[in-house]
Amino acid sequence: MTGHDIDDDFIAQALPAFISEAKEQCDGLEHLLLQLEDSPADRELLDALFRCAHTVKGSAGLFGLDEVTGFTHHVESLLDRLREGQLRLTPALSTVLLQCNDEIRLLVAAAEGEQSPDATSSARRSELVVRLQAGAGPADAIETGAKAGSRGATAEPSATARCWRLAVRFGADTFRNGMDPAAILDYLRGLGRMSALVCDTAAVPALEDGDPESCQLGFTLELHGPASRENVEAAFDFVRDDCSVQLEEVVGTATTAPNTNEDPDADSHPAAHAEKSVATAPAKGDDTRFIRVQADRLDAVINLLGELVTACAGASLLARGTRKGPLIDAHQQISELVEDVRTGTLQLRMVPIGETFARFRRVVRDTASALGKDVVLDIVGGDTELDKSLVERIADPLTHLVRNALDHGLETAQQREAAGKHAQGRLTLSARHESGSVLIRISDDGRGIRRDKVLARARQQGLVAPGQTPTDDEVLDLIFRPGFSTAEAVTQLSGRGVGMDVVRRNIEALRGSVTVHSEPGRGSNIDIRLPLTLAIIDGFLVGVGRSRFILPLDNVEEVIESRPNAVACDANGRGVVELRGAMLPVVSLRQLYALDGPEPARSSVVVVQSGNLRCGVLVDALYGQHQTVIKPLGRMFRMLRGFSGSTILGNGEVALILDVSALHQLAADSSARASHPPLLTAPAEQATPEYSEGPIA
Amino acid sequence: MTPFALPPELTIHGVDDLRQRLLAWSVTVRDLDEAWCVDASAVAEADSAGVQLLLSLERSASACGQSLRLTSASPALTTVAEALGLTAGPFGAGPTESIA
Repeated sequence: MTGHDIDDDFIAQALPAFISEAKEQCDGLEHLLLQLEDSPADRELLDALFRCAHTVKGSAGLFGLDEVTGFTHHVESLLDRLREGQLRLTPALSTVLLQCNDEIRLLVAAAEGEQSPDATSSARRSELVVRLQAGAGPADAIETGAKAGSRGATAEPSATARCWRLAVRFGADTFRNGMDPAAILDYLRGLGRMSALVCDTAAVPALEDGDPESCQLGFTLELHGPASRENVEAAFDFVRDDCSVQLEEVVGTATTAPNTNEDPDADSHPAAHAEKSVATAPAKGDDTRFIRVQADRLDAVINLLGELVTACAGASLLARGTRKGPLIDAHQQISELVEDVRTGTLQLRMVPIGETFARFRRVVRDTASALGKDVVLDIVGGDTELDKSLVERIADPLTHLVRNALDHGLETAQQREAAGKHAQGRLTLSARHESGSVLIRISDDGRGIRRDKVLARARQQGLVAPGQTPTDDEVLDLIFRPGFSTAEAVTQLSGRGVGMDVVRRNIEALRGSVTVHSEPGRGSNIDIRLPLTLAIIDGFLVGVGRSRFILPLDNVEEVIESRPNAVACDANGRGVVELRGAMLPVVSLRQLYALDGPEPARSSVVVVQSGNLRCGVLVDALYGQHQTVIKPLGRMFRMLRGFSGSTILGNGEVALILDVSALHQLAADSSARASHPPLLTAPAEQATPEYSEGPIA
Repeated sequence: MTPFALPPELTIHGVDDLRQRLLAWSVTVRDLDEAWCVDASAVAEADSAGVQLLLSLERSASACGQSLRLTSASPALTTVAEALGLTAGPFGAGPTESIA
């Protein structure tokens, strides 16, 4: 019966959740508005849009945030008219709504205490309200005049009589919370003529087995009148938390007379009808199936899990040392379970990148219109998942690259037409999984990067020695060089105080890589490769002499066995082998890192792939799959080439994790530079059957 | 047999207590081969919880092969029942009486 006592502590505790939810709703609003620009009449989107605003308003009201409630109400009213089809969403209106959304965001931020709203912001809001009403036409002005409190049958005089079909199931606590379904039904009667009211008493227990204070009632009914969806939903505002309401509009001629196909049935078998409606009732709390977890708690679990994986590997090793079958089996089982837990836990951190991509709709829209360009943004593979921390940290570099593409890559409509292209520019953000990493591509069909200009600029700045002629790819790579000032270069990759070198550094800090491809006149592609996660990988453990190395298993394609001296390498450990008729550059770890120890009788070449490059790694021994917890290399070892980190093996030894793309460079350097590469013709034998041909992972 | 007389207040505030009394009463009427009869003339205030309690009673009665008979239902009770769309069963024929 209480529950209305407002407890300050409760509010203080619940406010952060509200803020976070409201921010999400704002993101949702923006996203939906931008989607609606492509299909302005999509009813589902409009409904979702309305719900976002309604949720913000509703919960802001709960927290007594009057500014948010008041302002959002205007937005909500307009959105309601939009979804009722009384208004059309014009681009101008969309712009106003986007601005309103920004204001709501600011107000919510103010509620959080981030900043306080000042006089100019309230003036700005009043102006927006005026524009909203102007956009909504006179009817909305009447509605606004009628004030928020009296939203009832009087609102929206222009609406024609409609018929709503409701299926309501009240929550068990309804009575205890001081609510009475009869009163709510009476309120609905005030909104229009009620018909076909059926009380579903199927759930009411017999006297012996029920709690009389638990509400077990459900209703189906039809309501005829001018009420809007919002009006009807408002009737349930006070019981919303534990009540499921299904509301659908009955269209067509059946609005005045009860539908003869269905209603006799409903009248005579209320239970049967109720069953049906219960079955189709969407669990109102669909969204409550998510649990919000603080990110640092999750991180703590993942750290512990890393320790567990290492400890588990150590225990397995000890168990193997005892040569006791059951003990080894038990450890095997534990290892498998730990691996499952690892996969599951890392999955918890995975989020689709689509949300991040969707933010760029606004960036593209605003930047393009500010530049007077017509650009359409395509998003491909938004459901590609990657680690949340990666998603967060990739947003800034992406923003920079997108702005660059808009600013400098894509031309104006006139320029495009003059160049014989479609007037509307196209920017594509895509993401997909590719051999253990995520490939994010930003591609535009703009003017591309002029290699000659880049090269001239680089020479001018002394980045390229006068006599040197870099390859095309190397020229493009110059734009990522720290000294490459682009202020006057044609590409003008200027951005906002962040250069392309910073973009590359940020991405490399995430163990990722960035490359650019460009065709003059046709556009550019910028490829960002990121690891799926920062914490733990499936590794492939190999040995050279007494040293151990880890190759990311996802990069391993196959393993071929080679005879001693079958691969002749130069002093730097670089050579080539023939693999099924093609040349494969090979790196010998023994020679590259000057490792001690006698060469074994047989050695293996692990063929690794990264992007579309392949190379071989010559090693002594293969130890198979290994759960690898990545530990970053200390500052002292930053200069080492070819490593991305280290890990601790079960026996306490340290193994270095090889960075496959850096190895490529080492291997590729050999084929490019050595004028007489130590060619050899001995065909590499296929290794043991399990390793032959196809990929291992 | 004397009908059970409902109290003036048939609301959420009294349903727990009333349920206990109805349970005790139902034990005595269970063995009699006749409809369970409840006198609702005194009800001055009713709400959905009260009505639901009567629905529970009806369910118990029909579990015993009997029906619930509501005599002289007061306007306060019928108003709520009608608001809830309950016009059949014990709430059917208004202030007189009816058989489910």
